[in-house]
Amino acid sequence: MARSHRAARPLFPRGPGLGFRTALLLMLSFGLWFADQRDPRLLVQARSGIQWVLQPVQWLAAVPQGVSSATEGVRSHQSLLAENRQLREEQLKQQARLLKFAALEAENRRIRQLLASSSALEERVLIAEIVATSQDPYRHQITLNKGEKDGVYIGQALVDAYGVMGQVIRVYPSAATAMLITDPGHGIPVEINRTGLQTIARGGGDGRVLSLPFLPGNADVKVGDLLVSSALGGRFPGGYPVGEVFDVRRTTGEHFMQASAYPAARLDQGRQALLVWSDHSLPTTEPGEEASPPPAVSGAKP
Amino acid sequence: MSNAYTRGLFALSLLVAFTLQIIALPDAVSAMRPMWVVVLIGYWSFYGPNLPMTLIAFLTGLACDVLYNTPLGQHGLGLLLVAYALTRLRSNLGLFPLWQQTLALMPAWFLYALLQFWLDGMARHAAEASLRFLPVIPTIFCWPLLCSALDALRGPGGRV
Repeated sequence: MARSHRAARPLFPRGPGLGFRTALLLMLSFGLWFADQRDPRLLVQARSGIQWVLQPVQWLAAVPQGVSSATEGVRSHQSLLAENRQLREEQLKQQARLLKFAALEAENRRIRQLLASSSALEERVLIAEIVATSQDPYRHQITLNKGEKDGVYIGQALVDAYGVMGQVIRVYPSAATAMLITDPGHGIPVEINRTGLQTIARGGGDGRVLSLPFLPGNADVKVGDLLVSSALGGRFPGGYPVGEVFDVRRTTGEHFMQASAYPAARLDQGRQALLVWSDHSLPTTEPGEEASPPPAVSGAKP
Repeated sequence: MSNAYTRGLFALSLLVAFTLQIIALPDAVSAMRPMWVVVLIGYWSFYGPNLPMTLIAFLTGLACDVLYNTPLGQHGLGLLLVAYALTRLRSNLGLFPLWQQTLALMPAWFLYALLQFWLDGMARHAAEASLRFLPVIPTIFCWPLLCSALDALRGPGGRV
């Protein structure tokens, strides 16, 4: 290194030395990193500025996806007819089911009124388009095309047609970043639909599974159990499907039992997601709150 | 080649590297995606004209952090070290044949991945380690490809 230093010196006869500049910028980087990972809100302005500059790159990177979805639009007449027929049948089935639910919902509302609980059953939702997914295999995050202007807030829950997808972690003026439930840094309060057992599902980190690490040794959990979101914690709306248990492990000598589940939401398919406004001021002590929606929603899941 | 042409080529290559870095790939292939931006910063520190590579590495790092949604500065730290190492090494390694350079630069890419892994660990963002280190392998083979491609674009006598 010393020899190269001498040899390189005449090549760089300008300004402060390379080592000094590198050290200075390294310190600046580390300072930024430290500040940002401590409190992500601190540098959100700078971040959205850089993102604005980088928008052309993101558009460029989205071109192949656009082309593939455009060719998808070209289909044969036959396949369209078949699909149409299938959808019609499905719609009929859903319609019948919906009628039943309408009756149930009306009944539920009446009972709620009797209980004088004011919480609304219908949650406000907004469809957002997924414009980018994090290509870092370490992070399971997506970018949505709705932001502060549409009233999106940090911590807002994100669902798709099959279950809970994740929650919003950063909000920009017209975009937002959401963390998926499979991210290793994510945890969601869940309830086992069959027994009502409350626990926490954490992201497994490999993009496919959720893990339930804190189950008591004698908990009643079986393979095939449906996990639904719990309104405890006030962040997620209660009763949306979260996943399905596929593995339960009891380790001899350990206090806790472990279970793994596949997420119910199709995290890697589709380009739309629903942003849900859940009631922030929900008192968590209300017993009827998260007990009533699960049967309705879980019944709708095939 | 004129200086302006080289600078234009630099900007264009950076844009292409960013695009390749964030373009959507199937999951199976995605883990083996080379670290394009890192190799590119390495190349321009090693063979480049007198560009302020430390500053460029820092700014590129910030851009990577926004694209990957990591804490600001995380990629910058790694890129600064790569830029520094390769600028220092240019007088030692520059005369060796390409395949020997490829072998000699393997630790640089590995150190970059290791630093990212550490920073992730410090930020309590623990996940599968192989996902951090797998991209190092294609990155090693990326170096001779990128060198040949960019040298061809810069024409004979382009490396000044």
